[in-house]
Amino acid sequence: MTNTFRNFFVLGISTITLVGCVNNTGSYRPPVVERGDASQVVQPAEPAAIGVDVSPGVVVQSSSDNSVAVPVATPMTSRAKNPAVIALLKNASNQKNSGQMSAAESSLERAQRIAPRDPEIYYELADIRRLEGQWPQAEQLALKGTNMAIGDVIMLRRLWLLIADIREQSGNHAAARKARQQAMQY
Amino acid sequence: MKKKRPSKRSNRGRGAKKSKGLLSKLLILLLKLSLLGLVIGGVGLIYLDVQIQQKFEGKRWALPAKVYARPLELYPGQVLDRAALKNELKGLGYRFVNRASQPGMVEWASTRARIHTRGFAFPDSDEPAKRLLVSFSSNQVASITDSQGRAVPLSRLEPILIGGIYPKDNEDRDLIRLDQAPEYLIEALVQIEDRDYYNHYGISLRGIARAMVVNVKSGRFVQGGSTLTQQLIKNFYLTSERTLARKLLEIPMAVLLDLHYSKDEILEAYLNEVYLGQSGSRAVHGFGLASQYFFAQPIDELKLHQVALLAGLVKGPSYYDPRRRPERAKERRDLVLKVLQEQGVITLQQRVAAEKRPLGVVKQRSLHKGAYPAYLDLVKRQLREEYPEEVLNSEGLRVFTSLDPMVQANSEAALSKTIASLQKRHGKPVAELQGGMVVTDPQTGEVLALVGGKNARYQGFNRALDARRPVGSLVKPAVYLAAIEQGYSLTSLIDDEPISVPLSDGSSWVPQNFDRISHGKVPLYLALSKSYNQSTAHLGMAIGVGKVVDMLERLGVEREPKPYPSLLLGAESMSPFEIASAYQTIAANGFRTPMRAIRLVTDVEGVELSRYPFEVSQVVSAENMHLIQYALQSVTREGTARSIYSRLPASLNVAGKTGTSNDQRDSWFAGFAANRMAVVWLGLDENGKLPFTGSGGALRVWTELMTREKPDSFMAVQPEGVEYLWVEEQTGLLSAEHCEGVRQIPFIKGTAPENYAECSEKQPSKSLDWFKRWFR
Repeated sequence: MTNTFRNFFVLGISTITLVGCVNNTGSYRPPVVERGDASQVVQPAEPAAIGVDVSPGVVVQSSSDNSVAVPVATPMTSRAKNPAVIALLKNASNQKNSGQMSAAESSLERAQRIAPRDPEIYYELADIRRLEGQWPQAEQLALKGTNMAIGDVIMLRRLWLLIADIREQSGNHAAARKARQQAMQY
Repeated sequence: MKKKRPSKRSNRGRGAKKSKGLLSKLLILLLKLSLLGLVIGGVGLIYLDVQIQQKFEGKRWALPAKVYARPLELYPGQVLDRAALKNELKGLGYRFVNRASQPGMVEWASTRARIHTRGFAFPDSDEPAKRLLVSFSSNQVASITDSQGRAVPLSRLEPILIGGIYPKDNEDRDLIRLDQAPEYLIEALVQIEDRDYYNHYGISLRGIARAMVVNVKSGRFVQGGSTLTQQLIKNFYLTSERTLARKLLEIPMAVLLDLHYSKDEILEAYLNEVYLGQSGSRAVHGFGLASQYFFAQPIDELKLHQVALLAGLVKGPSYYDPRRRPERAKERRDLVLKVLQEQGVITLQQRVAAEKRPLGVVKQRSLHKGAYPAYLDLVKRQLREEYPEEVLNSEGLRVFTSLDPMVQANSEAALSKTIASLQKRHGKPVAELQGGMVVTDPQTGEVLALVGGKNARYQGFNRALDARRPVGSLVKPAVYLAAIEQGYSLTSLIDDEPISVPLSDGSSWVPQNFDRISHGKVPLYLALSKSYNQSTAHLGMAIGVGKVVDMLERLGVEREPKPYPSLLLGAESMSPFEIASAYQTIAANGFRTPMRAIRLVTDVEGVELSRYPFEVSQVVSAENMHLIQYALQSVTREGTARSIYSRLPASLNVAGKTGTSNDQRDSWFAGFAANRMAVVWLGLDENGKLPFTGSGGALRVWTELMTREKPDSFMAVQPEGVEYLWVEEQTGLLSAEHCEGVRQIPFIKGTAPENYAECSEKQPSKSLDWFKRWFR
């Protein structure tokens, strides 16, 4: 009850600032965390590895020495891919289509070493395992992909649909339905 | 020979008549014996002939497996230390020249390098030789273009050969074809060793006659007057002892070989068979390997002065060893050059120019082959699970590993430098200080480097794999993770009070804190961050040791830990490698990946035999792991490992845990950034006490490694089921940003504290999720 009271109390003041966040337009940038406490730990958002897979995920850098920003879930649908990764994904796709599975796998693993956080790579690795009928490993790779795709709704939907396919093909229809429902959330 | 003797002996001191009949009898006997000898000789020849052909046409040599480091990828946008690239190219034997006109050459300038790559037939695809212009901007590759100026998105250098798996006789060789022999090599060999080679029938009568004279003069058998064919026979078919009998066998065999095979075929076999040096226990055979061994270059790139040196070595690889006897070697090389010029093979200018060149032999230390005994040990152990020894040492397998020589060099340097400085500070008690290290890429699970001891080139006790030591507090993340799975939050208050656990043998387990102080009620994340023993024991006993055992196994510890209470504080012994697999899972958000040192094994033709693919299995939810990652960042920001930031930039997020075993006998640190995970152990082989803890020893090595590696910052991704809330640090109550003593802490949704601190009532809270929850 006290919570409800408090909520009402702050509603008027906070609504204006919060609407922008809730809409999640992508243009919103949270305020810089200004904290004097030097021994503060806060986890940051997605990587901004130089040159590779620069995501628009917001990393809020504090002005103080020993603190970093909390992760802010922002959409990452437009990942800037490194040309090397693009080339390798293309190679892998050609190799896969012509049945050279182990060459395709090698290409994807090369891509993974360059951009280990690119969910597309896990999608493709999972798909190869699916084509080989290795259902459990296919699903695990796709799940790893969903972990890398947090905030990227398009990729998440693709990955969950892939998981649904994998489960369907392995005969687990109930789990497949669940995965499809999960995909529809995005 | 023997057969004639009886006739001579029986001839002496007999009557004429008697001897006449005897003589004719003897003559007949002799005739018969000769005939028999001829038949036996003929059969012998045929037998020899079959032997010669069988061996020459079958698999001529046992080829050791070749083990390669990872090939260096080059692509625009890549963070690449220019000095490290230079080292890589030197390791591959590239020559730094003004104009890179041929494969294996580099033009090196301050902001760009033109690399004429050699190309390499990788199992997945061919990497053709290219002339690449690589431009740098600060520590990044800005662009790569080919000789036509087109942008190259990605290119691979050849992989560095890091070692082999040798047969018992320790013969090592790189096979070459005759057409790979560099210019002048054949001429030099023929001119200096066997000038009549193309005209004789396998043996040279003139040579034999000359040798006879020498032998008679010296009164013993010293010279063989061997042709190249005879030398090949000697090395290829016969034992190495110098006897007349062997010599006599050699002659018919050489003639037979010459009869059956062309001069070129024989020469090609010779090029690969000849013994040219000794590298420790490893015998260097053939010009292909000798070229790598002395010049670190492929044979087809050798120039006249180098070719002359190798040709000169044939006569006495040890006597003319260019590393130990450079003056003798130079004299011999110049003699070869002189002969070549006198015979009109080269001009006087060529000779003079070549004579002016230094020997150009690389230091043995600079060779990568044999430089990574600890890593190779790991590779061999994995290979032996799948291949019998005789396949490994004779079939010429090609093994592609993920060893990164750059990371390996940084790891070795970090370990040896830190040990030296600890020895300087602490003196005698750590005179024998040792260490072991494992470095991986946490996302791919590839083992990038392995250090087995202080002297990384010394092949001995591999501490990274075999030093099983109590892990101390390194075990704690598993305890806290198991607690979070049981519903604890990071702000749950844990009792840091004395605890006594009765054991089955009647004694009690009474853990102490390191500072001997009990800290009262402590939030869970802080208890881990400060590595409090008593609160950990309380927590672990509350959830049950079995849960911790289960968690360790899920994280990747393969040998089942004993479920004693002391496990909670790391009484269990593990090797750095075993610990690494658990921390690997923590760094990879709860997805376990087997640690891999081998990527691929192919046969001698490059056909894939086995592959060690990337595999994952989710063992802990991403949400729970996110919370532990937060706590492990607290360790490095404000906990027992905060000294990290006296050396690393504040912008670099890292997470990890210190560990110190009972009585301070082992100093541990395990931690990770985005693309590097490293476990370091320091201790004494005889298990003595150390004058420092995990943070005073192993952590320093780890920090030194990371300052060299400059890894990407660890960036946690916030899983959907996690929310960040402002809480009061002391009480763990919900609070607001503007309040004193508050911080943002991640919670599994639904486990947030229910009560609010006083301060938060006065001002509006800004918690987004709280607002959303209310709004629903």
